[in-house]
Amino acid sequence: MRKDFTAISAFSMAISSVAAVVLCLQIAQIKSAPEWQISGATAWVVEVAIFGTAIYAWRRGISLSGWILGIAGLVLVRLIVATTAAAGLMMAQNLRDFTEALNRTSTLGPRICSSLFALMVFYPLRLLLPLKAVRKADRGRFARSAAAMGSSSAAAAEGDPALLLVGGTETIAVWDTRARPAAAGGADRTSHPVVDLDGTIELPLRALLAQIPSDLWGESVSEYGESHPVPVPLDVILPQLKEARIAVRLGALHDWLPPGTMRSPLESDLEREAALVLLPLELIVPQLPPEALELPPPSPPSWARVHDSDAVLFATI
Amino acid sequence: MASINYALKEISCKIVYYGPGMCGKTTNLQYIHQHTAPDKRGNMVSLATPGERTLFFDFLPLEAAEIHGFRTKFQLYTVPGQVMYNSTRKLVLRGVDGVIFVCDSQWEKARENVESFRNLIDNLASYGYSLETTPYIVQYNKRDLPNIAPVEYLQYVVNPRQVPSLEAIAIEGGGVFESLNTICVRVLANLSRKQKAGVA
Repeated sequence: MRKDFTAISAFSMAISSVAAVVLCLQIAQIKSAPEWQISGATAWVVEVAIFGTAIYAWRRGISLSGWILGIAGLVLVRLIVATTAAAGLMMAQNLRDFTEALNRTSTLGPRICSSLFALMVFYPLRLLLPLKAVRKADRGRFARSAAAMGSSSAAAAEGDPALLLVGGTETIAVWDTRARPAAAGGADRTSHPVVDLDGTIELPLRALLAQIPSDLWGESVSEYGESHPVPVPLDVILPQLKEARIAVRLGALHDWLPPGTMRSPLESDLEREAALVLLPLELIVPQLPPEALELPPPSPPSWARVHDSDAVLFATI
Repeated sequence: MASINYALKEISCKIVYYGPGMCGKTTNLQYIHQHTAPDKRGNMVSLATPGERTLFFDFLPLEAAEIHGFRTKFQLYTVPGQVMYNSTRKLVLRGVDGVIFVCDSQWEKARENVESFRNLIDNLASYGYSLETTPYIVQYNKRDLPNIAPVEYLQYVVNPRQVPSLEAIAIEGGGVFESLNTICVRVLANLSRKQKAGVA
């Protein structure tokens, strides 16, 4: 069970479930007009489509199996709510036929109610759905894009073609503020979004060992190649990304390394176990999935709103 | 704070180059000084150690195009990047109209960029300024070096507001005037907006 799924999540699920059944039961007791009756097949298609969209929106980067599992889970919760409400309806109205009760909880009103509440009940469970594994192809994506941006920037800057000569003998073209900025606009927010991703990235063994004192190296280091991959969990990395520094305890690093490559820090010093080790940022960032560096959409402060006609110049030679 | 002299028809604005030590703030100013028409700039004043570390600040007065009949002057300052000179940095920020945050693109400087950016926010706050009201841009300098972080990551750590940002190679002049123009446009627009609102 992930640590994000807390007792509060379980409590909210329980409350939502009870509310769903009670509300669904109440609505089912209201006699609905014939035009509100819809065919079961159509309703189920719509509901599954809504469930599928919700799962995708909640958990970007979800794997196909996770998506199907999520829809199945939602449908299951939805059925449990409707069935429980039908059972309640049988008791409340002394109905003999369960199918009739079930039909009454399957009209438009109870359906909408049970679907909405199914979404509410299932929401905390979305964290348990598996994400796509980090693709190797994604690695180096940033390095490539940065190289492309750098070259275009340097080319455009050659000879300062973007400047207006003032008071001199030559006039150069006015720089177009729209073309160059890597990002325009601005946002009042300074906070980074909390990205919730599962999985690991791999760092070469040698790069990790280089970060720890050599007296902690184990005897089996030579048995592994320099590039032997060591998985490092993303949930350790992501919260520290905005700090431009990824630090882990020596004790945690010991747990990740292959057996025998690092002596337990506890053997030498208790305090040492809690000492922090910096992980190589330059090896981590290129492996991150794109969503890890996503920022909230910008909403520009007043000073950032500039008309194109406001171009300024400087005198250059 | 920008000053407008209606008698002389002059506008004067203060731009500060801010960033961690050795990120290229002085290099920006030196390039501007070397590539600006002499009659449109004053002397560059610089007080540095023998190791080319800025000791106090650099200063370069510059004149831009005439705008609506007003001569527009910019006073460009840099701050000393070294951590121990915070009181000087704070002093230089007094009355600032716009900031160019110069970011060192090298991986090993990533943390210093973040610390310097936070220091900028703190020092602005000591005058009651904030980045919501003070125009600023981010310049990703040293893009020619081999061990640089991708712009996406730098953007993530020092520019979550996604204000205008540019890549630069200040030592060759790449992005230097572009950065200056970008901030000046915003400073003047901000000044104009304040004038209309009767704030300035």
